[in-house]
Amino acid sequence: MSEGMDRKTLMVLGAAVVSVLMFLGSLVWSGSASSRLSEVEKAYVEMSRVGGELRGLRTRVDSLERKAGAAGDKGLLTFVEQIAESIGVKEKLVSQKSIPSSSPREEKAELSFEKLSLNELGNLLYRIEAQPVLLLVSRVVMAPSFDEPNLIMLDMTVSLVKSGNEDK
Amino acid sequence: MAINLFLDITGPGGGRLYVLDEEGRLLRTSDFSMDENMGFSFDEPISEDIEASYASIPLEWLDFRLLELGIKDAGAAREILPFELDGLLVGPPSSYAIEAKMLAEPSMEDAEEPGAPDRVLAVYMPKQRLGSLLDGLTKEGLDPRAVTSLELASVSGKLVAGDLSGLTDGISSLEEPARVDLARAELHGTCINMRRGEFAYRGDVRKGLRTMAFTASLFITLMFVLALGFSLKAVRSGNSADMLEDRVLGIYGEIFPGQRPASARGLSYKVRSKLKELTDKSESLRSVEALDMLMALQNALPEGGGVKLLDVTMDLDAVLLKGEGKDLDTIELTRAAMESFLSDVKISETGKAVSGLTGFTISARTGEASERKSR
Repeated sequence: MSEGMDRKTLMVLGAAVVSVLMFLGSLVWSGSASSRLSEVEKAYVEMSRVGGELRGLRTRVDSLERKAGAAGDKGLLTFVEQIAESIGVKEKLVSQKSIPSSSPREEKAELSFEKLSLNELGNLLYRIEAQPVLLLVSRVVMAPSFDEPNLIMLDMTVSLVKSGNEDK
Repeated sequence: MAINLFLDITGPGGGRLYVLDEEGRLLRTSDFSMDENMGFSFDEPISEDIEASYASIPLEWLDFRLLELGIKDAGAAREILPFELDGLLVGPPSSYAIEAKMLAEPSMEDAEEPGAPDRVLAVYMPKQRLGSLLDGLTKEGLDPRAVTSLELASVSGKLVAGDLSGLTDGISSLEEPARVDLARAELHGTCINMRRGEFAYRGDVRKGLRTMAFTASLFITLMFVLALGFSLKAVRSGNSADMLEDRVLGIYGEIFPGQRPASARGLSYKVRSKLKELTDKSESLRSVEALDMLMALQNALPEGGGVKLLDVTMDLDAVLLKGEGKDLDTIELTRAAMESFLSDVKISETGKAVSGLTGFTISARTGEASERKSR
């Protein structure tokens, strides 16, 4: 009877130990699964946000890079003269001076126009933006002409970016 | 209702069974018979829940010795008795179940020998007989809490008074009502209990073990249920994590075509790094949107005049405007209107112009510049 009791007691103890181990195991498993889920949720939220932002940026950069690839062998001043000529302000382009650029893909120049009407100013700025090549304006200074205050004197810094390796 | 059973074995052929309630009230009596192998046969089956059972054996089954041990503690006396009885018994003391009945020292007036040491009545019976009795009862599902003797209990008073004659005479005159009264009294404390040592009653221990086993089974069930619950939660969390991870990897695959990492761990860093690379590239390709800015400025000026812009300076991050206005309120209205497309719009300078109007300088940051600043 005593042996039987001992066997039963051992069985109960064994079952209790197994159940406690299972409980602890499941607790650890559940904790680890919850922590993984929380980590993946965070990654998903961040990936969704950053992914959207990345797609937008990539579209913009790709579009700009396509424009950069369209410049061919022509230089910045050629494009500037073409634009000025096309809107009839070539004679108002009083100065164009190349300045050094930090990037080998970029040609930079300071342009000065004088006595531009408001309409001509608008056309000029529009044409620069609408060029099939990548012309970037980094500075614009507008002031009334000294002798004809109704007309505008325009100084601007323009760059032509071409496709190619930055490290070139 | 729980009952107490008292088996009063009156002779070799059987005896009477007293059924008492929890308070000790007699509910009924019946006969039982007993064969020479201690096989019991009850006239009435016992169907109630038995709280406890007791057995009383006849006095002739017991042997006695009166000893003076000089101790008052029954437990200590039980320890000593086998040694004291060694040589006085037929066979070794280990073959006997021995109980000690402490006899209180007679009062001084009654004492024949004043100051006599405490006396112990050694009560003993062969273990083999006690074992057979308990086996026979066990077969009937009975496990008596104590094996006592109503007949010894009936002469207990005399024994205490020093009169041992009761052990040999006057027993046969014990009628049933007196036996029932004695049985009732025995429920609250037995005169002797032959169940000692290897025959000790372990029913309470077994009951305790059963309760513990029940508690343990509840505990085990609870642990299993909790383990099951946590496991299900883990499986669900794992499935959700797998599903989300697939989506994360899908997004990653869109960002980095042809790449399929094993897990989503550490991908954020790579994606943020790619974002920074693209942001830097995009920054390097920014251009002053002069035409849009001029149109916005034009719209910000009050209708019908009042403010005129003279100098406009724009770079990638900032705008500096110089002009003239008819008064400060109008200039302030213009500044406020510019806040819809510029940030940090401040009137940095005002003064009387040559034209008589109020000259002003407004500085502001472009939207993109302020966004980068807040990042």
